[in-house]
Amino acid sequence: MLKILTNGIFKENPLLVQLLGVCPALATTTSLNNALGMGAAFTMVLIFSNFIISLIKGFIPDNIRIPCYIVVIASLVTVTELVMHAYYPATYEALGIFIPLIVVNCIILGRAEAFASKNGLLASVLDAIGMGLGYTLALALIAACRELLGSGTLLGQPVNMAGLPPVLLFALPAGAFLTMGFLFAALNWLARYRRA
Amino acid sequence: MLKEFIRLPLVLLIICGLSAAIVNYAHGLTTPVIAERRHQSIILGYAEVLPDAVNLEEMPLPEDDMITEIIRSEKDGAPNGYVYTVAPDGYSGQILLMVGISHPQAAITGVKILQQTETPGLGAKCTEPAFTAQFTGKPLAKPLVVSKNAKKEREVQAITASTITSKAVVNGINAARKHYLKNYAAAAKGGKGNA
Amino acid sequence: MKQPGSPEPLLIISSSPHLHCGSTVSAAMRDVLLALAPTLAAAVYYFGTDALNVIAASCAAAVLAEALCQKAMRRPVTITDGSALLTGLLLAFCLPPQLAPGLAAFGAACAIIIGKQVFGGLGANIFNPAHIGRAILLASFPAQMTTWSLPLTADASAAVTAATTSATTSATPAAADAVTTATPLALLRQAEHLWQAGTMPPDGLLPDLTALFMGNTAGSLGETCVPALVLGGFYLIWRQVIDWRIPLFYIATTGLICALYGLFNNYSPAFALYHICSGGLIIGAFFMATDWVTSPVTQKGRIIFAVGLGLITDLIRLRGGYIEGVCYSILIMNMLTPLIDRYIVNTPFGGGKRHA
Repeated sequence: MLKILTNGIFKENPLLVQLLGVCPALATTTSLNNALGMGAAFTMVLIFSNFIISLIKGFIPDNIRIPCYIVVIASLVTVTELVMHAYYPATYEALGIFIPLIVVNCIILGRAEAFASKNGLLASVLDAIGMGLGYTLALALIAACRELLGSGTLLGQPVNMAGLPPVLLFALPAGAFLTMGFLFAALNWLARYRRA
Repeated sequence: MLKEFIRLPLVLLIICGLSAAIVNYAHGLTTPVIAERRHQSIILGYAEVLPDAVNLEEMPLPEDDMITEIIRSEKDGAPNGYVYTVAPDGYSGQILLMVGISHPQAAITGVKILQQTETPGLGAKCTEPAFTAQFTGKPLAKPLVVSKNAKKEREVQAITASTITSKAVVNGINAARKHYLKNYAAAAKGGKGNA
Repeated sequence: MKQPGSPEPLLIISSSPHLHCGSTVSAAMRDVLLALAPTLAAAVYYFGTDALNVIAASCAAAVLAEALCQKAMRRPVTITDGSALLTGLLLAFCLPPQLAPGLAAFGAACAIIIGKQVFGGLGANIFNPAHIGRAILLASFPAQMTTWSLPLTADASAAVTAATTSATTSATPAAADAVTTATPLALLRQAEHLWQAGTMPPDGLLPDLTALFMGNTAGSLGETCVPALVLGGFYLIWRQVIDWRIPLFYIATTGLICALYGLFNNYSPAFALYHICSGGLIIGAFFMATDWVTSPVTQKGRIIFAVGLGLITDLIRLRGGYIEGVCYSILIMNMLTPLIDRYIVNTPFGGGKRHA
């Protein structure tokens, strides 16, 4: 059971290992705050979608399962969006179009198809928590690098960088690609180093 | 076979129906909260740029201009200020901002950027008080101009390396100034406004 | 395919005939460095120790970054071939003279690591590394990268008059500050607004054409002195290090479009000449666009490449938000180079009709 949980965080991390959900990871990681908001919204949708799909998997005929999943996921995203708009307006404004775009995030449909439709309720929820946490952690890692290097702040608080000026590039879209590339390279290097 | 023809749409129908019900329920629950919040933030915005804002009333808009809203504030039966919402073109897309003007003193009481999509770290600095606070108290006798090192009263200190954004904000404020002077300021002096 | 860590690429793409003339990378690099010597002298003459600081920081950081990067990636260290030194020098020539040396060093390190080593080192890079460094610096430190100072030799009082006259005539008052100033291209933009309004720009707004040609104006430290750059460029053409087609077609296209644009809009007849002599066009045409690795291999391909450079440069300069387009035009055409090489193929000698 614990293995299902940690699987999504480390061994099969959706962003760092499976390279899924890259588009929102590029766009919402300008600040740690945004990344955590995105991660939270994403995790909520994933937990509920895995739960519901695991619950109704016996009821859905195999040949129309994809439209059924999409309807469930889209409804959950809409509800999440409404709740965020009502109660977390600042995060809602900051993330903008990327909340509705969670509908087409391949990780959510991927977990529904690959895990929730084949496993029990508890395992599906654990899988969703693991994957959600893994994605949130990866977003936070990228966002922390970009916010620190690009604006010299962390969670909006100025950080003493020993007099080094912030490098604006990291706050721009090009900086997202660079940060992600170097981060993946570092992780690959670490993985090889540990194996050797 | 026929059974499949009925079963598949039926399952889809049930799922869609349930989903729609849930979304509808959430929508009903959140709509008043969202509306209330939006209302509150607008009222707060008016109060931020025009501290004396009371008895707000919407005024007619001029045609074909970057002014998107004019609000009149009235105290003791006479207008004591106006809030303009203007949308000038910035470096990347429109900038939406509010300007408060005291009446009949004709001075800026505050500027607030409502929405912008300028470059982070450059033009996006226009939301910071370091830029917006300098407008407060500026008289409207002459149009404002952007300068790299502002000294005179009508000069506005540009955001470093973001002249286009700075100019856009000032353009918006100047549009509000022009409209105000033409339509409302004259009414205070001679009583013959041509609104 | 090239093995990671192998000393030389196993396959080299070049147009026929495939004979080796005995020249090596380091010999060519020596030639280019020699060709840049007059420009170096001009930069130091005009901008003094500021220029020396930027050049030293950029070159040192480039060589150091190359060595460290190759060590970390367990590749053979090739700093003695001079290519990293050349990248550092070319980057420094594209920077404002009074830029903090620390920023120049940062740019040079980015040029080597992001512009060259992550693609696999010399010969495998898609973009001109020096211009990658410049683009990163411009995106990261826009304020510092667009603050220009006059050469030590320039008449400072003339600059003040120019700045104050422009303040009274244009909607954007330039700061009447003797130290910082606008580049000729920025002044040209102001003059354009005046021409469009049907008035003549005041005397002293635009720099004297001779001063512009000799390099006695504000600008990046190695781009202002045209004679020094052309001298170095001709030396490289004579040594057959670079192909004359790229600089010729690049400068001709840029000048021709500017001339037509100026004629069409009733600008001063000198408009095109100003455009040719200002900004990074000359250094870009002779030293950046001709980079072996990032330009096409066939003669026909090089002409297409150079004409494309001219078109993009003018598009950015005349219609764009930026005032200078050389750096981005070269980066964009670098991207198209593999495509040009794919479709422009020489007809084999005696080959006659080509078969699909």
